[in-house]
Amino acid sequence: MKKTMFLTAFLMVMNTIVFAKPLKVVTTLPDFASIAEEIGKEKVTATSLMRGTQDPHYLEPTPSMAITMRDADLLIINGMELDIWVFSLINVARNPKIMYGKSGYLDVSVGIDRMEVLPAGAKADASMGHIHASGNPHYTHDPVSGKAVAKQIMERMSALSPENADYFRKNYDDFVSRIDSKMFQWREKLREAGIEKIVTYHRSWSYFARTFGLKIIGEIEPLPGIPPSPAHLSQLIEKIKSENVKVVVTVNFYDIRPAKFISERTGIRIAKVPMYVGGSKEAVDYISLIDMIVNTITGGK
Amino acid sequence: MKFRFILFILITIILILPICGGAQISQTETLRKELKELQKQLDETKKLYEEKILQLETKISNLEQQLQSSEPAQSNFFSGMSSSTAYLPDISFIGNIIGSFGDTQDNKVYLDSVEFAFGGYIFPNARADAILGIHRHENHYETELEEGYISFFNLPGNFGFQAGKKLLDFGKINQIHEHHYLFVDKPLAVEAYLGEHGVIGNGVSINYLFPLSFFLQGSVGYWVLEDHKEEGEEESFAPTDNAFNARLWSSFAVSAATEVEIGASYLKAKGPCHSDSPRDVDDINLYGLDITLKHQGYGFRRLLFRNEFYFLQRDRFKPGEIDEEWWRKGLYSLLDYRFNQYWEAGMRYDLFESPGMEKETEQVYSIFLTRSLTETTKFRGQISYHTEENDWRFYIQTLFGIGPHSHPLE
Repeated sequence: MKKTMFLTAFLMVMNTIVFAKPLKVVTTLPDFASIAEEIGKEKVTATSLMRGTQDPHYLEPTPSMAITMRDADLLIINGMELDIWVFSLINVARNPKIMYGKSGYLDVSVGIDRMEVLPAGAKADASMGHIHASGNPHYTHDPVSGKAVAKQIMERMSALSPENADYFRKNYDDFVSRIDSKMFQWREKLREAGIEKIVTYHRSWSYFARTFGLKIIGEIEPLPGIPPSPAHLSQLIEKIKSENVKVVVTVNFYDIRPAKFISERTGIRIAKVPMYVGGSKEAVDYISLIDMIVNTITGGK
Repeated sequence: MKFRFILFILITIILILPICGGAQISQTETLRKELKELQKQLDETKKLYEEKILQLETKISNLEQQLQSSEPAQSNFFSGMSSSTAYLPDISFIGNIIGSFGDTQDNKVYLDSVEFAFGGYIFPNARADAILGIHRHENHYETELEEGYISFFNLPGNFGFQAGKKLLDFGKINQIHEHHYLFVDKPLAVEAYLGEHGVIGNGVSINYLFPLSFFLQGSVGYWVLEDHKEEGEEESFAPTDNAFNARLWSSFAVSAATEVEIGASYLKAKGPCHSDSPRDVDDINLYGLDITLKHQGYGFRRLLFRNEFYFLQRDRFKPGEIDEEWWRKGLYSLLDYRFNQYWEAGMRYDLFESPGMEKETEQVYSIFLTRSLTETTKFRGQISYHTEENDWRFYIQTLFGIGPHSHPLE
């Protein structure tokens, strides 16, 4: 009898210890880690495989990343072929919880209102530049998509840790209401600064432009991933002049020289922005990242 | 009495009036608050609807633009396309054109190889890969199945399993296909000890990921090695016959951006001079040590410093000859830096001792520059200096690829 009681008490203690363990979340991009932390707070540990100063197209996976994923409860990926390198890591990590199709595998692009998706069966090849057939994968720095990402993370974390579901919901509601109140400020800032049209370096601002009602009149790259030619830059300069564009948006890890070349000939202002959380020292979390982007685009106005 | 009554009425009116007034004022304030609240709600709803309208308008305009830009493509390519891509493997194609110039070189440009890669999942946690190669040998092309194997990634007890024909898990470079090298030619020590086409065999291997806080993976395999010699090809040393291999591979994150990998490899096989007769002996033991430092910096920048050392022990005996045993060593040291998404440059040092009975030593210094058009399409130039022959060699290379081409973790 004593033995049974002791065993029961021991199991109860172990059960508490096990359930008290925070949910281990591993993400490919730092924005997802930031959002997971907003929702889970002290009940999750979130680690991003990529740093905010890196380009996800060019990240080379390392064996230590596989170790980070080995005992993860949840893997969050961008999808749409942007972080395709994660699959070699999944194979090496041997964590059955985060394999494709399992509850610990979450591709948040599924819940995004995708843009630039090629119609089913459409031909996609390198003559069109580096395009993604399943749509433009650069949605993370769009706050409307950010809310959709947060919703999916909240739902999945709640499924994996049902005892914390109410807590996750409360934090999610708080996160969404902070985004909503910020949204008004961000819109006002862009309106007051008179930013209606922009030029970008890479085709990575479509979602942001949709949310804030901006018109992208051209890109420095003639096609995604293709370096600019002098002829293309000349055409772009003419377009900037005729459309009276005020700002060229370029992510801080891209070559600044083409933007400077355009700026010297048109007077257009260069907004050099981070693209992911941790991409600059001010972009410490998801909301401060969008703050930083809007502030830089509006010239701090 | 009348006066008292009038006074009472007056006092009552004086006392009640402010109370009534106060009540009216507080009621007005409540109504004002309600109005304010309603106005606020109206503003918020208005804002919300404006936001939705704006989003829909932008969406419509984007869709219109998308339709305009994709209409011609649709009419050209959509008709007659297969209705489903489910269960189709990833298929890719990579070509390698090389030009080699110098006193000892062909002094011409030629298509060196074309490879077709097929791969996909066959079961949860298991995939199949096949690589079909067409390679140039002297003045003709030979087609061969370079690799064809299945991999199970998550067997019970942290084990993995591979079976089929594949490049053996020996060192870093043996499992990398040439089109994925950062330079044009194969390092001399690699070609000398692993063979011109690398160590390829038919067999099985198991690997185990140690449950430690850092990456440590061990693998062992049993193989029947390819005796890969084409007609007209020079006699060269390459491990052959039944073989056993083992590898330990560890990796440590020194910082968020820097990783150090250390590996040790072993291969037991036969040399090319053995025969079926048990009296003809050509036993080889090949030991490898590899150390890699990789730093992934800001944006696209990446520094790679890789060193591989090889130690060959060869025991050769033929009836009527003296039993000979000798040791040979070789290495290559590679430093490569990627500046941005388009440019990277590197240098390599090779040292090797010939695996034959007579020891010859050679050193090579190389520098190379790569311009990437896309992930799989690149132009490369390389200059190499072979010290023993006082020979300068110049290479140009074009790599071109189509299709998704995934690589296992290197």
